Amino acid sequence: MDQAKETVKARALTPLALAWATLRRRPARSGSLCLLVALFAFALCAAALVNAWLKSGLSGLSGRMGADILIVPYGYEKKLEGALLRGEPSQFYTKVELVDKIRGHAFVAAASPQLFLTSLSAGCCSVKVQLVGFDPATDFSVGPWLRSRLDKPLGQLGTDEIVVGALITAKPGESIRFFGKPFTVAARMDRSGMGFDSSVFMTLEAARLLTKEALFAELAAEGLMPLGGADDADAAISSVLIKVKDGSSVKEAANELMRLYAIPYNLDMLVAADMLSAISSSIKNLSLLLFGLACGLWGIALLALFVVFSAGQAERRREMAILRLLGATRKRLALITLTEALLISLAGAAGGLGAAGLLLLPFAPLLFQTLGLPYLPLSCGQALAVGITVALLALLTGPLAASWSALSLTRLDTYQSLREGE
Amino acid sequence: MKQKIPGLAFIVLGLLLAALPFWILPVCDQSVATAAGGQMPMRCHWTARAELGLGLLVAFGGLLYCVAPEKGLRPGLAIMQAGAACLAFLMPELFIPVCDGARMPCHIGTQHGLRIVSLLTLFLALGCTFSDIPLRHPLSWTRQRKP
Repeated sequence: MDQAKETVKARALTPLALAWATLRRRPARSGSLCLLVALFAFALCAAALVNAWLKSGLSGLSGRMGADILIVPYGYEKKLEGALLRGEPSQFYTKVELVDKIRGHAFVAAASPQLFLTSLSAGCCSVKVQLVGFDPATDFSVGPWLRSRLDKPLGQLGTDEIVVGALITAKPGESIRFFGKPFTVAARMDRSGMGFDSSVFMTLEAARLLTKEALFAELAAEGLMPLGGADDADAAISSVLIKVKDGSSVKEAANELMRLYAIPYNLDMLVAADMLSAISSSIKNLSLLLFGLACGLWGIALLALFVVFSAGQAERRREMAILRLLGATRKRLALITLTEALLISLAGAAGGLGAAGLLLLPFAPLLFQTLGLPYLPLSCGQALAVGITVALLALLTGPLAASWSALSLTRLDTYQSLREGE
Repeated sequence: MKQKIPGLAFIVLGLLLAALPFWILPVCDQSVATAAGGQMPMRCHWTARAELGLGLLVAFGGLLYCVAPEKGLRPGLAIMQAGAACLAFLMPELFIPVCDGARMPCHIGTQHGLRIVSLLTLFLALGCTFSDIPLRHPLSWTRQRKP
């Protein structure tokens, strides 16, 4: 009895069984159509993910920048940009007296110094990291961000304590040595999408002690001593972060500061808004290119599916007429074609999304590190939303392309179709 | 010809496994100075060399798979390939881990590449194992070899 039931079930002419049988009968045709949909799904997923990653990276960057103008020694503005965006270790020095002079201007709301140091790659499998010394009393840039993870006021951060970025592999409470001096990790920050993730933060005092006391012979040997030598360490800073008062023009303020200090102190500057707008423009161009590619692939996939289903329908008129004679309604014939298209889309969407997951998610950090653009990973919910949207669009492709063929099947003349070719 | 396709796939995956840490997604190329004044390669250098050996082993297994009699050596070879794929996957994770730095090339590139290639090899090897051994009579292929 069970065997009889199984036989009946196996022979049932459901739209799904018929569509599946058609697809299996022509593996090359089905495979190439699936590949087209998969390519579209992959390209769209790549475009959507890259766009979302870059946008979240940029918002993290603009949220944490804080300063309107960054003053650095002449020729080092690209190095500062590299340190801010990609955490590329660099060090450069100018004189500390500059900070008080800048604070004296009416258009300056706040000015705070930072001291950059580059660690030595002393141990196995370690690379140089950027050490950033900041002034807890005046800092308005990284301070608010660091406070979010510290369990004590920023001012109480000791000279033997550090805060590390998310990409530094050290847990709070652990000890790390820089230039032979041990530091306790007071906190580890969340991902910010910028160079801060691979930087180490300490107070300005700690950074100065490090340059003065710790292995300064080694520092001098590597040409890393600030200005003239250890005596000048107290007078050295790397950059001055400036916040312009509300109502004052950042451009005018920058021009005025350059006019007064550029030549005497050999300075250059970075306007945060200009840097952000340049990055934003690169992101826009990249997104446009990727979405353009995805749209082009979608057009090709739609056209190919439309042509294949239209041509296939002409070939299969007799088959459809026989199905009509066997009792299939016109609606059911259309359903068979739409199911076939949906199965192709389903396989293509699964393949495209699978490939995107396998290639884009693990290699995203490498991609953005190579591109030198800020990047912040998406949360599971955001990534899922992108995946679902792409899957829905890819699933729509097949039925949309086959809808004309399906519609024309509802107008099929059974007798004429059956006699055709006789 | 049909039975040679998995063998050729093993050869391609094996060569990919061997070449990936050196040319496709290379490991860190810096070296570390020792206290004695010498230069020591980073940990990932040894991972790459181990993967080179495992990759060549997988490629050689694939070559044998192409020429092996259908019901004799092939299931055993497929199981060996699965074992080699497991080793290739675990090598950068457990046995000779790559460097810890989250921005280092071996950590963000090579490791992920090795994971993907070794998992593909493992899936192919498992597929071959189960397609070569008749599942209803798990020992039938060994029995057939008896006179």
